[in-house]
Amino acid sequence: MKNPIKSLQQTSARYKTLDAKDRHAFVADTLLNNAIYIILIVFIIFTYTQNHNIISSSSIINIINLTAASLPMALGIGGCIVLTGTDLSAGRTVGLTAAISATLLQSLTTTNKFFEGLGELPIPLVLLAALAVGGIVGLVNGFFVAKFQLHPFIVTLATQLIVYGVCLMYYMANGNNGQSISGLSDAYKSCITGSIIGTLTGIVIPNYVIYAVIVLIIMWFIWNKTTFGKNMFAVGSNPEAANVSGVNVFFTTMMVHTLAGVTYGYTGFIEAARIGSNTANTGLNYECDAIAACVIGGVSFVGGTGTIGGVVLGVFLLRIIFVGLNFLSISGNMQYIIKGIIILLACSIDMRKYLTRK
Amino acid sequence: MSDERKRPSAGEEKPDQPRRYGLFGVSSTGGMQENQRKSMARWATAFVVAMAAAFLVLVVTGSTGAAGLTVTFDSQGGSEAASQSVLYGDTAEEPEDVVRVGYTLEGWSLTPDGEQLWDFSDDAVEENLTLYAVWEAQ
Repeated sequence: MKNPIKSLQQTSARYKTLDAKDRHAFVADTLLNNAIYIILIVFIIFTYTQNHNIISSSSIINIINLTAASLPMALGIGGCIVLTGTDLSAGRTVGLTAAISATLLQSLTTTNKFFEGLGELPIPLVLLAALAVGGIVGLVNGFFVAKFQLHPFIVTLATQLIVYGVCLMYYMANGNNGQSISGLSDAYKSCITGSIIGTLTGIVIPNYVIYAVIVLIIMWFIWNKTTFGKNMFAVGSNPEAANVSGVNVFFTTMMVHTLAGVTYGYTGFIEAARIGSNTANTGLNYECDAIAACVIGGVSFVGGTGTIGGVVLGVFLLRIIFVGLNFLSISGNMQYIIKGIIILLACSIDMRKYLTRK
Repeated sequence: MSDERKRPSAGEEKPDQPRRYGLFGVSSTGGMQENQRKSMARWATAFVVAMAAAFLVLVVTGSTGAAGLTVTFDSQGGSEAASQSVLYGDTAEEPEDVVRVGYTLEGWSLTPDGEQLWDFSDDAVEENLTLYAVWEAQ
């Protein structure tokens, strides 16, 4: 992270050296490049005038919780977007891993238990299982993308369908007949949605927010401090140049997708407990929000650019807008249109930045 | 002849316009001419402004936030209770003086069968609701 005060000083010093025409262009550029933040501020102020509840502690905690729930997945997809790709299988993978986590961690006394006679499994073991299943889906994605240089759009579209099919069959298995899976064990629920911070300080922030911060730190480390992370950006900006400089493009592409798959597995594990009652529709369209959040956060589809901080900001901003739309009681149909417009806006800003780069 | 030799062949890159490669072939903006790039940048600028304006217009016109959500009360045989207009995230107020001969009011529920009781002091209204009176025979 750059020192914001210092960079502001540098910007103002640069601004003083410009002549009148360049100053005009500089102001216009700054306004356009930050258009999304500007309209967000206008949006929040407008929402506040309509419904003061948006700036209440419960609403802010709610936004933080929702951000934490969707952040790990956005970080995973962010890696795919850095490689100029995308991942459409994310939401369904979350659905499948959520189903696996939920069925393995049902309480012993639940009627209609999915695995009858299954004892109480250790929670970390189920977490590992969810991560492994997610990782395998990611590995398959990564293999086809890297080996045959297929566009991830089509590969992940195929895996999305396959995973959804598997997920539906899983819900039909063991005489469950597609019913929702609930009755999770108390240990599991308190591990995810319980609040250690709440018992210590009285501010009820669920545990999965803490876990999301841990995932965030791990992903930050991977992106910024490892060779793999640096290779990812090299491959994203120019795979041929990366190949010539000795980067294993095949391995890097595959690992980025696998890592993304692991984050979906993690999200599924969390979502199962967060939602409590899971159906085959758990995770539906999660990838859309995650991709939108990445684009808003400046992870460019042109490839090779993006920061962890940007993704966090993107997820956070998108959540504020979604929650704000509810506070404005805008009709659900209109909400879809507005979400679409935000994504187009983010893409336009991204393209404009790229095209006007000197 | 010497001029022709200097001219770069079709596939060759000009040094001042670096071609950009995406992982999956040349990206759409790769190898673009300067004037094309400028024209596209102008389009992008227009689009940024248009989308930002569209967002704000839709939010402002679509907002019914100040009007609030409606909580209606079905007294299920008791005396009528007026519906309330509540801001999203606020709590509703428990209607007063709802009576039914021969019954006492147990509370208000989200479902007619009285399964999910509504807590007026704590439950925030997040959609249009109908609450049903739950009666206990005296």
